[in-house]
Amino acid sequence: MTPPAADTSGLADAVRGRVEELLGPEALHPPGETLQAAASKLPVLAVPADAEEAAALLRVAGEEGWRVLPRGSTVHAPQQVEGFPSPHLHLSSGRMADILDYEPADLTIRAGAGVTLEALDRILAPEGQWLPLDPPGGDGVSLGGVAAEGVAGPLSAAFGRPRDQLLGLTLIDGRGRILELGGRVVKNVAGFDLVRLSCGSRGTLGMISQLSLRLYPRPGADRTLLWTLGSLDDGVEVARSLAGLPFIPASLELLAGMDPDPGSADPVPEAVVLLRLVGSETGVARVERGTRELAGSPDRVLNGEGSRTAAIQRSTREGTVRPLHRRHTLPARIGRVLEELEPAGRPVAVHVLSGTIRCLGWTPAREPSGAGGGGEAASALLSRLRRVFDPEGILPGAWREGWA
Amino acid sequence: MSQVTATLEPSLIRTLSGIVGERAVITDPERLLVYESDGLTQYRYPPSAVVLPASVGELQRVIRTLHEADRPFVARGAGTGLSGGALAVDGAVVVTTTRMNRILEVDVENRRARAEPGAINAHLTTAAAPFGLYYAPDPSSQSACTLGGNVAENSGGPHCLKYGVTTRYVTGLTVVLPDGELLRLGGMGQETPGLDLVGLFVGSEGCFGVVAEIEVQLLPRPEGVRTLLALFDSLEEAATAVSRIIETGLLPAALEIMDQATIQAVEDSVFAAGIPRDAAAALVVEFDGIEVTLDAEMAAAREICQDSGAREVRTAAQAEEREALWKGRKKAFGAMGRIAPDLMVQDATVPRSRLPQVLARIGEIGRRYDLLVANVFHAGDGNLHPNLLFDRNDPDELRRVEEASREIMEVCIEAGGTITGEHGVGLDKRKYLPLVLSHSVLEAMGQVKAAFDPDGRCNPGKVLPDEYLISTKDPR
Repeated sequence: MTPPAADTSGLADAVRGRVEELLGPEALHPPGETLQAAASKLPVLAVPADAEEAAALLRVAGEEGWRVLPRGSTVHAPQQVEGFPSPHLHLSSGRMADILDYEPADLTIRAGAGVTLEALDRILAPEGQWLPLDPPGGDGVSLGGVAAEGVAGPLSAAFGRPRDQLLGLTLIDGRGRILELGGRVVKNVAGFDLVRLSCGSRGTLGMISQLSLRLYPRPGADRTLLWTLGSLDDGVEVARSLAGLPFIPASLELLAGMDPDPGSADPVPEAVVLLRLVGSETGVARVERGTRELAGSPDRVLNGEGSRTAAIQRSTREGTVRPLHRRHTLPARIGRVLEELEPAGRPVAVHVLSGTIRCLGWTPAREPSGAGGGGEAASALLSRLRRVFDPEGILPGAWREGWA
Repeated sequence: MSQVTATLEPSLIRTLSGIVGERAVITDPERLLVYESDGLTQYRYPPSAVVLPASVGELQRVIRTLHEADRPFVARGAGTGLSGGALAVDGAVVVTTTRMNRILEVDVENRRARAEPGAINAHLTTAAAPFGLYYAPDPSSQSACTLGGNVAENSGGPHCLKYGVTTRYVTGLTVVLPDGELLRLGGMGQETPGLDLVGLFVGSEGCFGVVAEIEVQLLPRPEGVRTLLALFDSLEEAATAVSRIIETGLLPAALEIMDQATIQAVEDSVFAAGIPRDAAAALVVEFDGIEVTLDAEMAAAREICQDSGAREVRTAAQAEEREALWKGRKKAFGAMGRIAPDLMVQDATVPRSRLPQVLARIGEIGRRYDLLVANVFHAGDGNLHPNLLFDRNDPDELRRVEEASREIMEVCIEAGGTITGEHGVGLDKRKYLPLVLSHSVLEAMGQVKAAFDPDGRCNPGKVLPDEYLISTKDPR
């Protein structure tokens, strides 16, 4: 379990040579500009064609003691835990980007881990379906990255987190085992839930090569109501009253020091509350009326594609600005935690119904109270679980956001 | 199938009695009979003792004592499980959570609740109702089953089509590991770095430890509800209507089917819902949500049912009609007791679009084995419950039930489905697990189980076939 010594260029050459010997030069020279650009910055970036090739690489890595970092389609460079030496080999799912099985009548799809949310939506839209996931990073992120990261966006208020849309996935673990977990049906309790264990494991258990996902009917109406406020405190108040709506909105966000609609030329408000509603036109109109009683008329309304695009732009920004600091609290404590964080005009994005607070591009001076921790027993259990999948300790993982 | 009762050392009984009180330790063989079986009645495993802790502290001390005494144990809620998950294999001590039955908190502003594991599912919704909130997962046994049992089994229910199963709603857990260590996992508003241990623990069928406290998310009660009953002259037509409803983009709260054998059993019982006995299938479609949207959704569903061959489509106009319909549906398993002395409640999921073909094949299997199959199921999820009716005193019929069950599982797997959608693997379906999971996956699951329970004392003999259960020592 001792991590190998620090990387050297000689070792990188050896790794590169071994990958080429095993899988051929195409596994090191992937097609596509993005991947090539990323490859130039990394010691060795392998792009296996399928689960079997990834398994072969992970087995060799175990034998040789290489540290391996699985990653998605390389939209963002992975960030690692401080203090960990850099990996010898990055494994990309860029060549696992096919739709494998799609039966619209089942409202499920099986796709390669390298398929991006944007590419998936192009397949689903003509069938009147969608995958309501809006993780940080926008729609250029890959499905494998979304699952490995496990981080939800504002839409989780109505639809749940990535873990809730995952029916199954294939994980190639640190032992080089190909583990086909879960299934393709919407209800499945056959065996322990290793799908959820894998979701959010950030590359510490293995590489995800394909996923089965639950889909939803594409909403006919998509509307975002915006209330512009003069201060963050006012924003907290309005968000709090809207959280009491007797309906579940698609999302409820509070932004401070941020542009709610990056495509527009409007000045950036001090604070803004955004309520996104999706569904039938009748239903959306009914909830919209209900919000007026709680928060007055909205200052702006984004409709249809405008509502969708602005949401994607917001999540893209949340996924790319660095440093990114994330805090969780109970929805009712958001105001208090924001006070402790002292944003003082700096950008903050809050997903109100999940109590998620993101500080964008700055680090809070003080740690807010209420942060949890599992203690020694939890750490010991986590270590035992990681050893099940990675006994040689070759998967240090990317324990920070931005790996997608 | 049964085992003889193992006995517990008097010193251990004294220690346990010292923790929970003498009356909360049961060793009298006659009183133990209640605990030798669960909702799956064909198996009987008498426990060596039953212990009923009343608090987290007592639960933790009981588990630590059993750990120190190297005794196998099994956690049990209300015993309504249908896969034999709470059976006391190896003379295990049953740790029952029925005294830990309080709803601890309904946090209205954050829409969450905390409860003890022995709290009854329906009681949570009752507690949340005055605040316009409810708990979404609604297993058919919700008036009796416990939240701890729901967590262990990752229970579903009719309304999980729209709202999802238990795991979606569990936000935090306090658990006692098999060595007596107390762990808090997750929790709304908590930082949860690392692996999703809450997600892993839910559905672990009591094999990783005992749930001591549960935190769940509540939902605002829908503004309106509409329920429709469509009657068909064939089961396949009803299944086709389900596929079409889903395909059209409607998302009902529930889509449930009862076949003729089930309709007749229900109509002969005290739960009669007024469904014509000569209908081959009854499809219940329910929409909930924003009041003004419901009539349009109902009209669309009605049209699809009619186009699919429904001979009659009724709307439950009054709340009482709706309640009667749901009571009939949820009590259908119980009503079948009138037809035959024993019932094998099966549970499998198939892709929704394959329902008509799979149902036809299940019908054929029933005829070939000369068995009465009664289907009552969550059609919108593709979650089938083909129930085989039999008399366990007839060895030949018992054999045919076993063989037909296996064939039904194989048909569901062949259609791209799985061997259990919501009842769990338990003791009953261990033999089928290798049909859906590879050797590597079973091996990994055995290793994960050992990470929680290295001695193999926690709910022995469940979920994984024996060859995948790793233990540093053999349980007594």
